[in-house]
Amino acid sequence: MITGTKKDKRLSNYFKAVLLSLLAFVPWVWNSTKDTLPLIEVNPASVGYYQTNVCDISFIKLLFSSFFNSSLVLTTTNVENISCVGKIMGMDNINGKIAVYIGTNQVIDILFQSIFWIGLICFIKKDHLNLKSNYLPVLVVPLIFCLQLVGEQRYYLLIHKGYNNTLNLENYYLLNYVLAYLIITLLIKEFVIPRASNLTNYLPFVFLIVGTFNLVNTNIYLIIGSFFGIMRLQKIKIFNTLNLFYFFLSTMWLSLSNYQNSFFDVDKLRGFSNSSSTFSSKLFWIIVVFLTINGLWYLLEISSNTLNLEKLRVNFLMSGAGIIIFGFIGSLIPVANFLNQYYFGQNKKGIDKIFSIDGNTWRGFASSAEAVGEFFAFTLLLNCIILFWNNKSIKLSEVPFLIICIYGLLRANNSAAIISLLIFLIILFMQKKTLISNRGRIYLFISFSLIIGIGTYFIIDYYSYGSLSKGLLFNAFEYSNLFIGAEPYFNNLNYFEDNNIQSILLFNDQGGNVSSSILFLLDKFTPENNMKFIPNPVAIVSFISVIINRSEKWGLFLAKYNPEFNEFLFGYGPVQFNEYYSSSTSTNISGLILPHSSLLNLIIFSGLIGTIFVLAYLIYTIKTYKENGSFIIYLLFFQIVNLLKSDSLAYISSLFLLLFTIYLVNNSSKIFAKKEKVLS
Amino acid sequence: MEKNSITNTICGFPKEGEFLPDIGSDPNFIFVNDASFESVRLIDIDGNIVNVNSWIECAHYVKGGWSTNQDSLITSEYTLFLVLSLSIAFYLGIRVFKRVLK
Repeated sequence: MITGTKKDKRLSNYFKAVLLSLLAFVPWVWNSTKDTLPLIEVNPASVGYYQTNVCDISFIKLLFSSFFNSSLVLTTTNVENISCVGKIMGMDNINGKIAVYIGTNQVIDILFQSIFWIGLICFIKKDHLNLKSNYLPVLVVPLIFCLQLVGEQRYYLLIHKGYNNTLNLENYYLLNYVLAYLIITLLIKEFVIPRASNLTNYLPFVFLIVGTFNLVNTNIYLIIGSFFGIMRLQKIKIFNTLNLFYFFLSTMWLSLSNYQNSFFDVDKLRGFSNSSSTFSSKLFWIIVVFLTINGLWYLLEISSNTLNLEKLRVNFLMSGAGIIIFGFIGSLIPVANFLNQYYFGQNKKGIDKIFSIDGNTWRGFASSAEAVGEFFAFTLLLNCIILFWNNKSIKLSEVPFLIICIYGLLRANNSAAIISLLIFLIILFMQKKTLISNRGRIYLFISFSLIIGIGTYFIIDYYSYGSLSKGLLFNAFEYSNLFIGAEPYFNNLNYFEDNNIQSILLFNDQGGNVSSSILFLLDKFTPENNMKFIPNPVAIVSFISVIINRSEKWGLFLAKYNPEFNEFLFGYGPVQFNEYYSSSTSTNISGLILPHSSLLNLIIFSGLIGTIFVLAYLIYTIKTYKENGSFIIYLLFFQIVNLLKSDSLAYISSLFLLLFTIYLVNNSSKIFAKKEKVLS
Repeated sequence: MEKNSITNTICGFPKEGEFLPDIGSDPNFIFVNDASFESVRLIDIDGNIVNVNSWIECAHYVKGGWSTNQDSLITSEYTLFLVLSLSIAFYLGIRVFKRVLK
């Protein structure tokens, strides 16, 4: 029997769902009554009609009439005239498909997408924390986000012809942004704060609802995170060691930069990467990343009593299953694909084919196969850890979600995630079943060492030590601007085969064409620097890179990464790929190819000093961890291993996941002790 | 024939059977002057001006966001500004009203 309260709650949720659905469609319907022309069937012959009659027919009509039309490719286009929002702004015949351009406005998008996502948060139960916020974050956050608009001029000029960053009261373009952000912060104050301590239980959904606004280079989680970040700073001592260290790095980032106003095409990093090399855009990202991390940490801190591991476990499964299911629907139905992009806030359009490699549904929901593979593997590992801890088995109703997540992991083609998951699961299983005694651990260690030793022997025998130790440098040279216009005989391969690498630099004085990072590694690689019985560190890294299939990507990184000494020490700043990509030391590569290692990303962002600090913090976290039977530390090990060969830290959802894992490990005794107490 | 489309309001009606071809896929497309078409002066958001001499050329530019004046664009941003401002004023009004009631 349903109690009165439950009934009320259900009714309230139904009401919210109806209201949200209505609100969600406002951008497409608000101009639909002003249509001057009828909708005609969309086919190659009628493209001319839609090309001629721009801003005359509503998209909502096409949405319902051509929902299953598989020949459509729907794209939004920014319109300055708001009477064209939600209207069809043109069509084109492209490779047998019909491209449909739908008018949207960036300010209206920011507003309605935020309303939709905050509306979803409203389904979360209110907490009993009675958290209060003053109006400081409400007012400060919009001003911070307008800094981005001023700084990333080249990005916003591309999407809005009427871009204007003049600070005056007649610049309605900028004022509208301030007001839109102000409305969002007011909504956060009204609807998110009363649920703040319950939000962590729904953290897995950041992978499903990506939260990147249409067209613009920002993300809802940055706004919410900044809001809570300011709240946290109001409550803690601002000048603590961590913050002072960040302030010091920030000063270095801002003072050492050469602001060339260069432009970096953010592509799949949209919403979490600086597109321009200007002082204000760099300042914006420095502030926002700092506030967002603080904000997330604050949410984690206040959720220590409300964190429900069971709910969290199920939410991970549901989020993973959602990615696959909505991805499949989107790949089958173009209109659904478009709606996915808009309502889930995807950085890029989802794949519209289902066969072969196209069947990967991560694109759109996740910017990289590696990141989503890690998420699926993390989901499975976390489920096992919590189920083991609770001595429970998975419920029958959860099995479909589990199967879908396993399918997602397999289709992500992330073998590192699969292998590391299997290894951690085996160790976890053996430890839980107390199959590992102290002696057993020694045997296990010896077995692992033997396997690795034998494996290494066969690998060296197959590839030869020479090619393994030089593979990384060879790829780095291959991607550098070398032997331009020289006879074909003069090439990197010949010099490498002759063990005469240094001479490449002397040939035609082309040493000045290679990056400082290559010169540094080459210096360390020379025999004079070798120590007896200790393998050369460059050779070891090269060996690992070849084994894990990263020598090409890391080689490209070395060819590109050309910092001055100060830049190498302090980095370029958080989410700053601008300087790295504008490097002239590498050959032109089409598309966005990231370094394929979060450690390398970290070096780009925070330099040697920042990287050492982060690594020291991770070591400290692991060292201070006390095992209480939960084995939650495996989640952190799993992430560290995978992050070494993936760019996941460049994506906001994966960064959140890492911070969440660190929080779990830091507070495992409290979180898991609480459970013990409940059980007893 | 369509009567009130934006293109037709600005460029007039096309001749019988005339419609905008897929110019985007043809970089060598040349607009042919139409002697019977009265030249139209179009302006974009940056204030650039172009005179078009055929219905097809006119429709092509209008499709690209050009108009006979900039007022509609400025009005749009102003309208949005008013709507957003009023929404915030409305919210603050409710907050004050609630506080007064308490």
